[in-house]
Amino acid sequence: MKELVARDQVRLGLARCFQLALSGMSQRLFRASITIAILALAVAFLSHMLAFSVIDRATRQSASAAMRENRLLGEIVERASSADAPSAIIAGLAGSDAHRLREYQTWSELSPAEFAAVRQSAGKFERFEAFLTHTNPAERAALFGDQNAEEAALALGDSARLARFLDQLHSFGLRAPLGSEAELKAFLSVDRPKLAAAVSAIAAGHARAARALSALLSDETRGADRAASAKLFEQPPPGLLEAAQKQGFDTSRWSLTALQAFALRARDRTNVEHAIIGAAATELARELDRPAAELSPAVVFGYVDGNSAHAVRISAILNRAGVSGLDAAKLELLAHDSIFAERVERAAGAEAPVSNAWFGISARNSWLVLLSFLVCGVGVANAMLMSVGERFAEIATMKCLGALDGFVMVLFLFEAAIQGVIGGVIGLILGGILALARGFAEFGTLLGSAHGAFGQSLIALLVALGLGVLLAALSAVGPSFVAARLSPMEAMRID
Amino acid sequence: MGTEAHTHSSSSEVAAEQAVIIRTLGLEKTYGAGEAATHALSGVDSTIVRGEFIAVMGPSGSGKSTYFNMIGALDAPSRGRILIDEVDVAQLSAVELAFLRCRKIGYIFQSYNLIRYMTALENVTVPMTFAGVGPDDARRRGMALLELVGLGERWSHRPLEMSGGQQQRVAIARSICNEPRILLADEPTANLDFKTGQDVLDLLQKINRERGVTIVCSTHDHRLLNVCDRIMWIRDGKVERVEKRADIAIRVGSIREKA
Repeated sequence: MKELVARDQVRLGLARCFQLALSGMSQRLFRASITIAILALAVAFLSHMLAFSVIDRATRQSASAAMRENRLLGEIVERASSADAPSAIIAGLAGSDAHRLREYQTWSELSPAEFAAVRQSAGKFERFEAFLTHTNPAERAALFGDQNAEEAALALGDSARLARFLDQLHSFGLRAPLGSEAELKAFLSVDRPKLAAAVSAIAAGHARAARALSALLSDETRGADRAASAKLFEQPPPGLLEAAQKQGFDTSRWSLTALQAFALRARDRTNVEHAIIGAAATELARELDRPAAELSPAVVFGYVDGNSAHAVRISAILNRAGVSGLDAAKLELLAHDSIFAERVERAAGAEAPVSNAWFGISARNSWLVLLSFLVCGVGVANAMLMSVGERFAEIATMKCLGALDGFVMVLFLFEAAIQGVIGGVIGLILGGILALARGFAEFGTLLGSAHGAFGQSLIALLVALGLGVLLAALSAVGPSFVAARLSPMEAMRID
Repeated sequence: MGTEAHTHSSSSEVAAEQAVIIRTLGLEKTYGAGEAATHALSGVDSTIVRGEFIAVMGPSGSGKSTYFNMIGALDAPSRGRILIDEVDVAQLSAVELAFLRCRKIGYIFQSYNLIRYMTALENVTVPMTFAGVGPDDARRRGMALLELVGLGERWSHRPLEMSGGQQQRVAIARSICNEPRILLADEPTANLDFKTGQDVLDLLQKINRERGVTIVCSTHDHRLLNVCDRIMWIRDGKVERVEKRADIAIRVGSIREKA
């Protein structure tokens, strides 16, 4: 007859709790939507910050890579036609560009050991030059006048001049360049003349090689008005690569298609620039409705870019002004490339010191994010507390019906987490769109070059989402605890 | 008067001892401390027998609600013991208390306390969910209970779409869904009009008679005197007297005649 009443109450599965939380939330849509909106804003803010900083970094990096490539193409075109300046040769010798060093060794006609000695001398020269540039202006004027490093080194070869120079150094309390007087003397008497000889040999070799290349061009293509270098790659003559190799050029980085495109672009651009200040000026000014003085390639290209009708009209104007071989499609492409290059320059130029911590987000922005999360956390906690407050009777009734404290706690945590996920996903989408829009405003079509960062920005967005859900759950812990501890007696209260 | 109640129930001592389902011994409840202390209950001894329908009556502030909270295992006494099915409630852990509230006691509230966002059927199945009944089983049993209280057609209605009487009937269906031994009804008819109040009382009586559920019902409603077996009068935190209905039926009748 007597039966034990005391047994443990069943603990509900999480799936059932989730279901109950969901059905509870669906009936309080208004409050839930406010909480969701708060969360969505916070997550949108964070995800936009993170995603944008990832996009920003990737775009700038790819921009500077593109710029380096352009620079390299320009350098190859330039160096194929004319010898490097002596200072460039010394810098090359002291530097570590293997391609250039291979070319210089060939042109210097030195043995590897001798060439290594020359490179060391070039290194000393660089240090001598560094001494010159790092001395403060007043002392430099007294010591060297307005000589540059080469002239100064040459002048100091005179022993009387050197003695006076050392006295002056002493009186200024400065140490001798290259560490000690002995080193300096050795540099001036041995290294400098050897270096000078090698540099002029290299320059001569380079000039010879360049001449041999331009000899490949027929007389009519070479023309008279423009540098042979550009012509060399506009229509690469047969056997150009082999000839260049034979002349000592390191052609491992020569891509004839890229070089040709670069050269043609440069030619078209030059042609357009000439036409803008020359024959086509008045007609262009009328077409663009601007004074001729304000016309620049950037303005004209901006007018053409992405507008085929404009491209057709402008190319007609340019053709009448004598610019040949530039139809509307080509002009549009040129304009696009030119604007792209400008953006690249700007993006790469503005390359801020990139922090690698946390998606490259800056310290200031981290503070902003932290603060926004704090504010949002308080908002969510408040919303949850109100939600608990207006459900006193419901919670107490549930406890009368056999709900465990843990169940009530989980119910509220789930509710917060569900709101967190919904708000987070909305915020993520908003933030992603915002980051993309901002990226587009800042970089334009250049943004496309950051596609490599897609995965990373997706991770950034997901991190933001995760943080949003966590934030919602964390700020719901307090209110959930209040709800869980509520006495079932509250159900008896009549209000 | 309390002693009178005691002697009353101990008249057939052995048999009654077997059938006692709720027993309180020297129950005291004090709110506050020192000078400001209020004694809501000051020494209540009571015995409720299995299967009976007992009405708890008394003016507001008499300690009736406190007594209810105590025997419903919703609140702990300051002093004294509560035995439900011979088990001292004070010894139970939180999880065991939840079990008790879920399976052994059904609660009916003055303001129905249905969960607003759930349909009638969902409201009825909530305690079964807490008791670990599978969803299909719970639905089937929930529908049967709604049929029992005459709301089978309205299973999909939400509380706000139902009248007070209908809501209270859903609440009654909910309270008996885990087949409890005891039903605690706190002023179940207070918010209802005459007719629906009568329906609710009839329903409670039916449950008491057909299912053998012990019903403890606090009320101001004198019609309850017609359906209950005994009446416990509480005044100033004490049991004033306990009467069998048979003893007072005539008096009530005479009052009514005079009125």
